Amino acid sequence: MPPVNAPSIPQSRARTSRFERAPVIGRRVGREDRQLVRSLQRQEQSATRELYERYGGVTLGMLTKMLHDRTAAEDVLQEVYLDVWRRGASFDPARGSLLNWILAIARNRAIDVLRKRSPEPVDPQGPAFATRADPVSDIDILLGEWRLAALLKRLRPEESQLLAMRFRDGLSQREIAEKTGIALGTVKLRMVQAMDRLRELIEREEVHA
Amino acid sequence: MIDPRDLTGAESEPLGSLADRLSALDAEAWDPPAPPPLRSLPAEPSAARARRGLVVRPGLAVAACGGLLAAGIGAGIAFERAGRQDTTVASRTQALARVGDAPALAGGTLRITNEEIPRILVDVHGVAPTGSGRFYEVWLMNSADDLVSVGGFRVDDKGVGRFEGSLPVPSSGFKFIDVSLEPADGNPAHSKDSVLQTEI
Repeated sequence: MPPVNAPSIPQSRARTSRFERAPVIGRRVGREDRQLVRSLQRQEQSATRELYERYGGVTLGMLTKMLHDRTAAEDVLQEVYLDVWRRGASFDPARGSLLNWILAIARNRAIDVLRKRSPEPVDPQGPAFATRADPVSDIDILLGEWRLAALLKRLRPEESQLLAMRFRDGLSQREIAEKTGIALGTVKLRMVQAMDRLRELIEREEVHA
Repeated sequence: MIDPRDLTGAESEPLGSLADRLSALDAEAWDPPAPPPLRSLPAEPSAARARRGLVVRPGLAVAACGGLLAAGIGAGIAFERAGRQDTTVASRTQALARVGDAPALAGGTLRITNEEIPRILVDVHGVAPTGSGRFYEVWLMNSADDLVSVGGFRVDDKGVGRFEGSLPVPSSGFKFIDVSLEPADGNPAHSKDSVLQTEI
């Protein structure tokens, strides 16, 4: 494989020096994320892989809902995290959180895919025509839901489990107490604490949204 | 819908709003799917990363140089006439010349825009389809030991493919664009199997 007349490159032009830069760290970035942001801005693969581990499932879930196609969603998922790696050098934490940034990339990718699809024939006399929703609007609603799903993952497992029993399974607090063997008062207290913590996470993210 | 007052025994608007959102949450959002393994990412822009010694073939290099000028002019005109992916920003279009063991009809074009963060558009044709176990990778290159990956793309059964994205680093620091065929084996280094190149 011949780079045409490729000259030898002096050691001083090594790529490392070119990519070293002072990271822009916003005040709102948590301490645990600072190193991750620095790594991302240096385009280190480990940062993208950590973000994939942290948010890959949520991103895939959101894309599957948006595209109604798991296979297509998995393809787009890979493109999203390739974008995360490529665009990591320009990520500015002062402008938004990592989560919002990644989900926004996924949202835009999903919209691109939907726009490229052939439109399905619609019966103008049918009820679906009159109630047809704006797909981009639907996508933004989904984005909000899956952002919340990502934040639930950041609660302690016992907190998210409690909330799941309450809001996903529809159990009353008394039923949760009976099922888990935890005192009803403790269930109520933990529920309030979990909700408070979740609300804090939401407020922190939504400031960035 | 769950009555949010059931949470604390007292009405709480912020908690109530959050409870509504949680109650409306899709069941799958409570338990997101496990994503498949992340495919290989392009090589890190670091001199320390693994780089293989690439075999320089002077004969091919000369042939590629000779073909570049003529092919570049022709392909550039054809590309502009076709009006493909026309952008409002200035850009330049060049031909990609086949190198190595690429099929005889392999070719392509390169366009790099002059935006603040330049975008690169690579179109290839006449190259081997990728199937599922291979992909093509675009590189900014000075030499076999000095290169940065731009990104990967697939080629369909007709031998046609396209890569479009933003340049991870300025192209001004590099002399060549290289397109290589890579096995999907997770190794981020260049495969040594270049198929198309051009000077930039």
